[in-house]
Amino acid sequence: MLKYALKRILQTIPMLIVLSMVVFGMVRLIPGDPVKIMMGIDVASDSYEIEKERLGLNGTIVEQYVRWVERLFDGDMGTSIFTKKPVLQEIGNRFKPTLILAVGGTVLSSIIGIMFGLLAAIRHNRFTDHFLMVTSLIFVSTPSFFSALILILIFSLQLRWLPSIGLGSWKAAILPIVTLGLTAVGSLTRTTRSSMLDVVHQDYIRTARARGVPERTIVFRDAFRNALIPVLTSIGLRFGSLLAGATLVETVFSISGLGRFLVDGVGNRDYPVVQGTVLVMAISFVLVNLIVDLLYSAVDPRIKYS
Amino acid sequence: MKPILKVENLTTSFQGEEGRVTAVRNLSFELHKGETLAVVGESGCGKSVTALSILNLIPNPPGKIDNGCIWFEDRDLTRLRKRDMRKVRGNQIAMIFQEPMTSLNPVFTVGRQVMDSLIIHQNMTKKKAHAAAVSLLTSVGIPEPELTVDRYPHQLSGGMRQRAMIAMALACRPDILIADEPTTALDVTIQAQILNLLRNLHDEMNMSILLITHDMGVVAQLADHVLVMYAGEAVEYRKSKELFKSPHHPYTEGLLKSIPSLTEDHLVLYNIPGSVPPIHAEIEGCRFADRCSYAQPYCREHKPELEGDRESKVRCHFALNVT
Repeated sequence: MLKYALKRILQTIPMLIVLSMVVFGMVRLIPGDPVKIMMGIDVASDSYEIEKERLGLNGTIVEQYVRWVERLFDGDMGTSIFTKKPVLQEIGNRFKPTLILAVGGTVLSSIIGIMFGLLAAIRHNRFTDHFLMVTSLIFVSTPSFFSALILILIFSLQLRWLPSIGLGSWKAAILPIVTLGLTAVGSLTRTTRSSMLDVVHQDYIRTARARGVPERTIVFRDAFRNALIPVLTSIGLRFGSLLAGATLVETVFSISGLGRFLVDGVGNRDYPVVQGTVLVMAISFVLVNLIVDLLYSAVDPRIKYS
Repeated sequence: MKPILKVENLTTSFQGEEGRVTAVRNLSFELHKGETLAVVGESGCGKSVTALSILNLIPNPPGKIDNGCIWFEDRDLTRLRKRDMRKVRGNQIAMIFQEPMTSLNPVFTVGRQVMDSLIIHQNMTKKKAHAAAVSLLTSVGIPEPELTVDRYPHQLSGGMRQRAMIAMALACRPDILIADEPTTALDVTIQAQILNLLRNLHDEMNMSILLITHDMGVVAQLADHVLVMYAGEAVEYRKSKELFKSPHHPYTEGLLKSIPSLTEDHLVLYNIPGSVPPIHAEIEGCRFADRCSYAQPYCREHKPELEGDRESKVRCHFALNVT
């Protein structure tokens, strides 16, 4: 299994190289010159050239890329054009809030989504099922910025229970995490439900009943374990994309996370920031996928890696 | 002697798209201690539904036991509370299924599934149950039982899985074993091994077996008595040997004729003409009349009843081989 993990990590290297090239090229395709954005359109041509060289933007795009990769191996992702701080340090500062939101949102949505999904499957075609399906549909189709505003309206403005800005205390983390959790609950409920409904009609569930296994054990042990694979996939994908930052929620709650950092970087034509952030996001996404893949084999013994 | 299991007027139906479909109608039979009773018939004749009804495993909805009693130890299983029914399942009445490939849970080891009923019904500790599972696997002829006990179903062959399934069913030494097509999904050589195993275990443990099958060869090897079902009804009940010698019901005769013979030269295999009537069709006369070569106009108007004595019953106006 360790061998498999190593192999998988090695396999991602070519992918990361291609990805970095694409990002590198694409940010430069966006109209707009970072030097001019910073120094004004009517900057004198000699100071323009000096500044350009200082930022490492001189030479052809290939030369620039090679320079960037060389520095990358020294652990240097360049310096932000806009904030003048090292990109790596900036990402480090913003990774923690993103991680808190991603982990919190994933844990919350997993707990509620799996619970709802199980409940809907047990009560298949009865009121509880229909109710939960409609509820999850509402969750799925509500944009996160909208539910964020509603939550702020109720819990910050009306009830004055929770702060609506930043991530300064654990209390401040509640609303953004709930917002992210709610959006994911809907799809997870549906995945869990359909996966469970598929499993409960399998022969081995009937065998378990014929053995006298209590119904509760059948649902939570015999059936759920088998229904877990699609659920895990769904959770993993969601967690991966949350690690890439939840820009809308970060914006509404004024949290400086990776998502906003990237969007601001694109707006400022801050090439090093965009390149570095996308690379970090890609790596975390790949790692999460690898962990999910390794979890599959823990859940289902038929899945073996070689 | 008092029968260990007595089914009286069992009627089980399913809600279909075109209304309720009666899969088993007014079925009655008895199973005695140590006896092997085979229930035979074509696909869809209601034999599996009968087996599932006994353990109350009919999926509801759409299925439902509409009528009848199933007496076991002076209790009517159809009226048992869920909890009490669960104590019967796997403990006093156990069941093995047709598909060893899909009937074992793929994510748990074979041992864990064998241990399950021991832990549930006999309150064994995990450690004791594990040891018991090893000896059960040994008794059903699984090689390397100490290793197999910790293997997963997909690591076992079909025959081994069916053996594991039998071990699972026998874990609590049940009074009755219901075997629903236990050999159908297996290779011929493995079939013979499994049948031998069932016969040996039956002799050893003196349990009663309700054998559901469509294979007359299996019936000949295991059964003491045979109940022939057609379109949800019992049409003949006989001692196995007598049934093979001189079937009373034309349908039974047809079933026996359909067994290919090695000694005779058949260019075309015999089959019973026609097909089973649509299960939801209400038929006034004999349900087999349309396919019966002996049918008279009388048969289509008057429904025959299952008649005879305790050892021999037939549902036919013009029963064959009756003196």
